[in-house]
Amino acid sequence: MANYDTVSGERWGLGAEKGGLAIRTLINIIDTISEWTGRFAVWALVVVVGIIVYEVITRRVFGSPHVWTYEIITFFYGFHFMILAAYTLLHKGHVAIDIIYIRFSPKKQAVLDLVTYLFFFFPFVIILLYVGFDNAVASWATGEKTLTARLPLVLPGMKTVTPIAALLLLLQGFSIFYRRLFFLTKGREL
Amino acid sequence: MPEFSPELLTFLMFAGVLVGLFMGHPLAFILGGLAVIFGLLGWGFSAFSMFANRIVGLMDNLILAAIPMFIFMANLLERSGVADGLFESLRYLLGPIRGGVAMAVVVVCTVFAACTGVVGASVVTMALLAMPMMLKYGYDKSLTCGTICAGGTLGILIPPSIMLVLMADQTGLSVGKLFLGGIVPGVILSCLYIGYIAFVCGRRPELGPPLSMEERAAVPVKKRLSMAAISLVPPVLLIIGVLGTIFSGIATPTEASGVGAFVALLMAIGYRRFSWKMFKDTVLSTGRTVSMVMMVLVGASCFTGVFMGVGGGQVLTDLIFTLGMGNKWLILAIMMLIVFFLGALIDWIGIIYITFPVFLPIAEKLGFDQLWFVVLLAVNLQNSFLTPPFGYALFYLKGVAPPGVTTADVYKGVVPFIALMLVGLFLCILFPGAVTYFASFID
Repeated sequence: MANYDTVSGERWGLGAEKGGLAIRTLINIIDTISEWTGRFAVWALVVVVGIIVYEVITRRVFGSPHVWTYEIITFFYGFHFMILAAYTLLHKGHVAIDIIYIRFSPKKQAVLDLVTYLFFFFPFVIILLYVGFDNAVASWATGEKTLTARLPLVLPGMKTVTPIAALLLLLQGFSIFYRRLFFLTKGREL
Repeated sequence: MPEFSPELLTFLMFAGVLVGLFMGHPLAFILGGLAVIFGLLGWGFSAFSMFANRIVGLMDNLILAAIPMFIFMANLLERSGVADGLFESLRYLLGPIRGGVAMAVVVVCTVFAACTGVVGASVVTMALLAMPMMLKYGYDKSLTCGTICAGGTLGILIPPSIMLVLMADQTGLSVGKLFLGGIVPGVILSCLYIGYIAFVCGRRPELGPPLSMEERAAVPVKKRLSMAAISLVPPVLLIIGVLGTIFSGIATPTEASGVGAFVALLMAIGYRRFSWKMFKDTVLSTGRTVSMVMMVLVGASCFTGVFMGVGGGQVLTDLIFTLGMGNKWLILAIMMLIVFFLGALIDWIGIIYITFPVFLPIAEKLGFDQLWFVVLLAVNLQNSFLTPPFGYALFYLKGVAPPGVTTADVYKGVVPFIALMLVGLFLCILFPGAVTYFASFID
């Protein structure tokens, strides 16, 4: 399991072959989207830490608590891990067990990946996209407000994160799926 | 659509997890995919609206928000080199004793565990730091692997631990109470490890030879003591700060985790390890770890929703009561065995999500103290990192071990430590006060 990637630093890449395929450009665009949404979303955690330090100081030192901070914190925290799912997938960061997988030939590994993506990954992500979208639309339509501070936008925004994260995952999943299919049929990396 | 019995669906869901894992797919999406498949089989399309609600439940959750910040704090500490300094000084301090370097590893892990709460971080850090050193001194490979895996795993039990945060969220117990409950069992395990190392190395010094005279002469005893003190003070202050504010009720665990991350950042600056690049790398790698942990939560949450919905919880409950024959200690033993064996297959997040909704009502019915029972599960889940085939600490270790270390060395090395964890679990069952005494001081 090469997933503690402060050590491995692995990432899905493209083979040496240059140009020719339009699909290669598409895959490259998808990877770039996952990479940069990730590089953007990681800072949400720094924002959360900042808000907490600010809140603790103002409440403890100046004695003026804010109810809204906690509702903002949960938004950024949820946004952080959900949006990063695709980026983490691109970086092979989702915990998996390769103890048996690595004993297969590269072609058989590609078959295993294709099967698992079809049976596990895509059904889940597509359902998340579907129900997440419904949920978000309903929330925007009713203009939900948070329970305590009655903030607008936060809850609908949070519910919109799920379908966006699912869409990013779907794209990144397609990018990996196509790579494996290409490898299986052509015998070389895309 | 044909009707499936809950028994068959329960069995197939567990079998599906195994098949998916063996095929090398990420656990998060196996659990999610199975939730979709079995939601359709046992329920129909209407099952899926629950997924959106469950995910929003994970996002709109101030308790779980502590998890990413504790991970952030751990990663910042790891890069600030706290463990390096501590290990370096303890190596000289304990080195003259047989097995002393291995003991130093356990002590560093215990202190480091108290600052982090992330298994991957502590196993990888200690493996990179201590393993080359121990092998160079002629330590037995198996003992080295076992020590690092078991020591690194303490991070998930000794507070602040992200596992206990998740358990608090699942049970309604306060994070502070669970943290207090986890301290003594963690220290018991740590002492058991040190005692075991002292015992085997005492009998067979070739397993863990003491430092050579020349090496000892290089650093005088007085210097060793001052080195240890200097490297211990900042992390211990951080632990006291984080835990103290939680226990005294000054700050919520989420606030403490945020402030802890901020202080860890200041410490990195203080240790002169801070640079813009280091900060950016830490933020990125933290993001990947957080998303990894949280996506397993997302998958496991959907999986459990479906599992309970198709009647799997009832099937499991009936099975436990049938096997337990009405004896509450036998039922407790069966529940612990189930967690132990699940631990060999799936990781702690999945186990907590699957077993808690089933086990907690059973424990309540039998009149077990909830805090005690939950901490027992936490101690037991230590094993899930070590038990083959899917012990996650083993993979982390193997991923960074020098070429000469084989998988067999790692597997052989963890066996005595698994036994010690079971001894620790048994002690906590025998002496419930170890868990409940300190926790009784706060509400």
